[in-house]
This record gives sequence, structure tokens and C-alpha cells, in this order.
Amino acid sequence: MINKLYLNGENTAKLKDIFLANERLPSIIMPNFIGKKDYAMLEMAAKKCRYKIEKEPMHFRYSASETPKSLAELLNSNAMKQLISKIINKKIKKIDGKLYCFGWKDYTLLNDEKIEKPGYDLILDFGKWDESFGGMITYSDGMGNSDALKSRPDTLIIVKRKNRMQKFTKYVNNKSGKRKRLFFMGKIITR
Amino acid sequence: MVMPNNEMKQWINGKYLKNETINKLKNTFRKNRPYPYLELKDFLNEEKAKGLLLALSKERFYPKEADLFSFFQTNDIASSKNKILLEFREFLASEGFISYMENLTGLKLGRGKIDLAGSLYRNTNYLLCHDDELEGRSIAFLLYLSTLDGKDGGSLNLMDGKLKTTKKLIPGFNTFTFFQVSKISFHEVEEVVNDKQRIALGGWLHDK
Repeated sequence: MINKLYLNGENTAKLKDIFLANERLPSIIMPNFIGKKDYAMLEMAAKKCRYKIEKEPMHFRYSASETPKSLAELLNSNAMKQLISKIINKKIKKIDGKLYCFGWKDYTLLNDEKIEKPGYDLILDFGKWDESFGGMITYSDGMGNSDALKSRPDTLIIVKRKNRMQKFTKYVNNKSGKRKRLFFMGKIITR
Repeated sequence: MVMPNNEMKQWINGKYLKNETINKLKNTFRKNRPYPYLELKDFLNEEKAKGLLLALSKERFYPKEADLFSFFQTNDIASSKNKILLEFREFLASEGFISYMENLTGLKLGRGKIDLAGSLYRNTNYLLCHDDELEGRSIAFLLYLSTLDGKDGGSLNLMDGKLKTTKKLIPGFNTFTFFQVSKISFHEVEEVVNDKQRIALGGWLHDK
């Protein structure tokens, strides 16, 4: 299912270099990650999921769903684990996360009471999304520096969260209309 | 009984300086829910409010972006060179006005310290739910300098302990709105959803 370009040994070594190049926020963005047919199948599965509203006004508002079987299988496949392992240079136990659905008025806020420990995030977007709608996953180091990740369909993103690095999802504004941003976001659990 | 001085009469609409009105407002402030607040329409003498809007339109607004908010704000008016804005700031910090606010709210307020800035919310701008509580803040206030209606967004929503909006305060030109800052003063500014602008001068009065 994974684009063979990413599984080529020489390329994987380059991916590792790219991942480490950004010292403050080690990360990599891998476009065209899955073949068109498989991506369309996963996107359909993501759209069919039952999303349930989760809301704590002081902290977040969004809808979320369990990961559909087809996506969970891809994320926890040996090929996926091996690829991620080579990029971040750690043995992978599992990818643990869920599907998120962000529409108008949804957001997450930084939360001093729930500081995320350093670790690795994995994000996979489904469908097109315009940045002017908000809803960008943004990493902030608490020192005034922040990086907003661009949302692109069929693009896998891996991010290493160092000390103090926290993330939030920017409020989705009225320009989004009835559109929804669907994405998988989870933690890479290492051994 | 408090006798309003000349400065108070110059700035504030006479109806808000009558003892009878003040006594009613004291009661309303205390009884208002989800927490004490007041909304005073046509608060300043109209020419003063118009002058402030004109003065504020000449100030520079800077974009403010974070997880919690997206809007535009001026620097603190203390650093402005605009005479009208500085006079307004001086008036808000004056003994007469602070005593007036103490009288309305029953709170003991500090002298000499005031935060005041201009804010501008355009289409898609918002401020999400928070409580404003920071050491020393006693009253949060806003003088609206534009008028919106319900469908425009931009309302100041006051929330109860369960974070449910129980009061929507819609901006109106020359309306002075303020509330007591506390651990339960949860509020938000609803997103502006069209090309109307929400313009205000706002800030905090501090405790003693």
C-alpha cells in the first residue's frame, strides 16, 4: 500500500536526514504516501466512520472516531513500522491514535495541566483543506516559536516533540462552511 | 450620595450620574448572572464617544494570533500620542471614575494602575473561552465603538460554571460593559462571521 519510493533503502536514509534537519522540530512530510486506489479506499472508510463530539470548552471541541480496520492495519503493518523505525531510529511497538473530524467552531488549546511528554506524532490527512479555514495543527515551544503544519491529502507527517514542545489545532472559522477536515493523528509508541 | 465632579459630567451621560440610577445599577450588578456584570448603553456623552472612535481609527492595530484567539489590538493606550485617547485613559484612572466604579460594584479598586487598549475583530476573528483571572485584575471593561447585531457574531458570551453560555452581550456603539473578574468569570468573544467590524476600547481595573 505504501508508495515504493519510500521503501527504497537509499531513499529511506535520505528521509532520516530530512527528519533530523529541523533541529527545533524534527519532522518529515511525505506526499503521495499511498497509491491512489488504496488512498481512495482509506478516505472512503474515514468518511464513513461515526464521529462523536468531544467537548471541554476550556480545552477542546471536535469530533473523533475509532480508527477503521483498514487504516489500523496499514498503520501497524510491518512495512510501516520498518519505515518509521528507519526514519526515527527507534524500534516501533505500535501507532496509537484516532480519526479526527474538525468543522466550524472546532479547536484544541494548549493545556498547562496536560503537558504532553516528549515523543513522536504521526498525522495522515484525508481530503483537501484550505488553510484560510483555520484548523492547522500547530506546534509551539512555549518560547514564542510555532510551526503550523500544512494539510495535504495522502500525506504522512511524522513529528518529534522535544521538551516543552506542545501542539494545538487552530480554531476552524466560518469560511469553512460545512466542510470537514478529516485526519488520523496518533502517537508512535516506541520500544 | 456622591456628587459628580465636572470631569465626570464632561464624559459620562448625565442619566448615569443620578443617585437613583446608580442605586438601581448597584443592585443589578450584584444580582446579574452568571456573575456580576453591567451593560450601560449610551454611556458617554455622544461627542466623546465619536471622538474616541475617530482617535482610535488613527492608531495602529497589530494582529494577535495564538491557540486561544485571533484579532487585532493596539499597544497600551498609555504609549499613544493621541491626546483624546490619553485624556480618556486619564479619566478612567481618575479618582472620580474609580470611586464611581467602586460605588457601582461594591469592590475596592486600586488607584493609578489601569490597562487600556483598542481591539478590532474582523471576519473570522474570535477569542475562545477563558476566565481573565490574573493577579490584581478586578474588573474587565469594554467601551464598544461599533454596533453589531446577533447574526454578525462578535457577542461577548458569559458562561456559567458548566461553561454554558447563559448571557450574550451584543456590541453597540457607546455601550460600556464590564464584569467582575474571578475564578468563575468564564467568557468568550464569538467569532465575527461577516464583514462587520467589532471595535472597542477595553482593559482592566485592578484591585487595591
